[in-house]
Amino acid sequence: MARRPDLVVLYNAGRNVTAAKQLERVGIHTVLIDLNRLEDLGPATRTLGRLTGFEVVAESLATVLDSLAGRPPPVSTTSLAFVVWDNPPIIIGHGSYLDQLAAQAGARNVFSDVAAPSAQVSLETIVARDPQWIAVLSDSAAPPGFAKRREWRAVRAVRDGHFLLLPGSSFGRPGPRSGEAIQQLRALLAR
Amino acid sequence: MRWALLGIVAALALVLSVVLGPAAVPLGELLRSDIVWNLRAPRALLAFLVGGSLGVAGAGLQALVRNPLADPFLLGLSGGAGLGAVVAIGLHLSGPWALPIAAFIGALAALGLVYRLGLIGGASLDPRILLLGGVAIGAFAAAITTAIVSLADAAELRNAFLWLWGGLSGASWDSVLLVALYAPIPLAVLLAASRPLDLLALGEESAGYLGADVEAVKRRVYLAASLLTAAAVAVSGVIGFVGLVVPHIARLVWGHRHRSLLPAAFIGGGALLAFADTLARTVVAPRELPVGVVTALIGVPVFALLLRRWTIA
Amino acid sequence: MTPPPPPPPLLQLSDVRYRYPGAERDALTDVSLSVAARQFHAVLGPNGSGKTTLVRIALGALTPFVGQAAVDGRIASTWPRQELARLVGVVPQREDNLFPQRVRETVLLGRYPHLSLWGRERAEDHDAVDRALAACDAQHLADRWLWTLSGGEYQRVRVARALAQQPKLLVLDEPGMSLDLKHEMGLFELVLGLVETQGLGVLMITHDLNLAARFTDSLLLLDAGRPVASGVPGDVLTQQTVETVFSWPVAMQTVDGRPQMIPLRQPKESRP
Repeated sequence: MARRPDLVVLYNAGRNVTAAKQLERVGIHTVLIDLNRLEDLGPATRTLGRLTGFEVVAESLATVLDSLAGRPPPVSTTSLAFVVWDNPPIIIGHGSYLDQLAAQAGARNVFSDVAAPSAQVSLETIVARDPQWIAVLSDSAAPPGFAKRREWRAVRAVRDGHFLLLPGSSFGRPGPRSGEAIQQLRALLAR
Repeated sequence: MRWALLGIVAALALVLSVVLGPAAVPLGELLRSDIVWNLRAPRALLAFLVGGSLGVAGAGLQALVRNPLADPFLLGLSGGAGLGAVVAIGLHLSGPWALPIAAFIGALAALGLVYRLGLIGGASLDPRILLLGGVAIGAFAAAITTAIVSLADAAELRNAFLWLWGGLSGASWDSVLLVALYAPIPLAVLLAASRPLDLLALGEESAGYLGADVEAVKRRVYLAASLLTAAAVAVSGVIGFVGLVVPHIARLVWGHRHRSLLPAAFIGGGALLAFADTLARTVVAPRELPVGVVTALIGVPVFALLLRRWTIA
Repeated sequence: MTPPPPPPPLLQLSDVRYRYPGAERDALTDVSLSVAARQFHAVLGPNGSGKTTLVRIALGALTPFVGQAAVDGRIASTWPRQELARLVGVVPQREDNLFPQRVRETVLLGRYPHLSLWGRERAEDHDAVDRALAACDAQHLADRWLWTLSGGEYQRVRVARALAQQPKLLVLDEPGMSLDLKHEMGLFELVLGLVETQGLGVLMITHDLNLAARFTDSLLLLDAGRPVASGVPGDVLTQQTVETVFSWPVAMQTVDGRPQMIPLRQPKESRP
């Protein structure tokens, strides 16, 4: 607050809502942006463009981003599971950003029947659904630590070393680089 | 007769653990199934070993601190383990066993601190201080853990809490072997203390006059129960209520003679946890509930029933 | 051939002095005591006179600074706990039984000093329990739950448990406290009976002067940790001694050849 910015942009969730109200009360212009899925990119861009006065530029970017979301996904040629945590196993389910990226990259998320964005599942379910790839968010090139654990080696993709290592900067959250992210994913799957 | 019944219940729990699960394995293929041999079987055995250890640790602890409401997780160990886990994740310690080892070390550190506190009155271990100290150290460690997690960036650190509630997902033949080699020693120490524990129920003075070496017994029982609990947390996170409720149920049937109570608590605890884990894996399939939630959901109504019996009886 | 030396007394305290850490004065000073088989010995004194400290020293739980406590000829604190429990049965002042138990189970705990680490209870252990219950006139209580017993019955059961240890020496710390007249009398009769029929030595701490005087062979009267008088009740409980130690005027009477004290009322003017 001491810096008196012209605009504060906050991710719309939980405590940020309260923070936004507090900032507004002090007279700092604050906006909450939804940024969970590909569809949110267009509207977010437009909102920011409007608030910062760069509407024309924003509009052209927003149009591109809208098309990303609006494109019908290609036919899936392979399957994967996103493993966010190993003990207990947490996977990404239907409707979340990563799930959308996978669909756009031509990969079926074996857990797309799980309605929640992330959920704990039994390891045996992963084994039974036998995804061809295990995708993890990782900024390093090394396979994840759990690859060496004996119980995880029951998963075929782990035994075969079929890991997709996705850097957090592009894959963590929707952003202007989402298009690149989809390309990256397609390239990794083609190996 | 009741031992036979307990044996049947335990066998049933183990069989269900192996037969049931979110992945559909037809009965005919059970013996050939990879899932059954590499995942369900070790998981069932680990559940049995951990549940049994918690049951015995709980019974021993309740006799030691002379409080039927004592649960092994009142010793402050879970706080220490959580802190160890968070530190391991925060320092990006790699390796498949980094988390359990760090948690175990954290638990041991908490154990050391509480033990030291317990000796504060002199050379005699004061069980009341052990309890209070355990709660205090546990809370302190939990506070530091929460502070680290809230100040740090990594979302991974928040996952440390998931791990702490996690349960038996990390089960493999490796972890079963480890626990099977480790647990018998503290279990044997506790079983050997059966008679002194019976005497301790009369109070430390009376127990001494009836021939118990009270100081040695207190030390041994505390350390053995803590070591069992530390291993349980390291391998499967915090699973509450088993150590609290199983000894009480066992006492209802077997009475207070620890010679029979401890083995009954082991088998009963093992069966309960195996059963709870099966529920955790199947009720919301394909998703899974943390087993600590299931034991609480089963444990609380059972506990309420026991309390009612206790106060009526 | 010289005759064998007489057996050592079951319990002997010689010129014992003890002070609790951080205390201003000694808890016990120059206390001596001797209890042999077939002797009923009591220790009396007002509150804080050191009676419970004496029991602890006698049983080796505390080590005196000066003097020594010996059980059956051996220094009390050097006795291994389990061995000592085969010789001395103790009924402490307080017992806080945590879990519900039946009488038979709690008396069976008295057999533990005789059981090995892994061994089961044998027929002789159950017999000892039955005999102990019979000696205390408590067989009919054997299957009752402890919490259903009256104070007097519970006290008998505790004595039975000490008896189940098959001790030679019985030590009771204020056993009559909180018992009504009938049960307290019953308890003293029980203990005297055990001395006479089983040849036990008994050390009893009590505040009940009159009953101690009626039933015991010898008394030790303590005041602020110091021995005031010891010997047969007739010699110890004189009017002057009692009035001095208990700071209250009394009249003395004789019943059954034993001194009994009657506390006198203070006239209004001189009441404190």
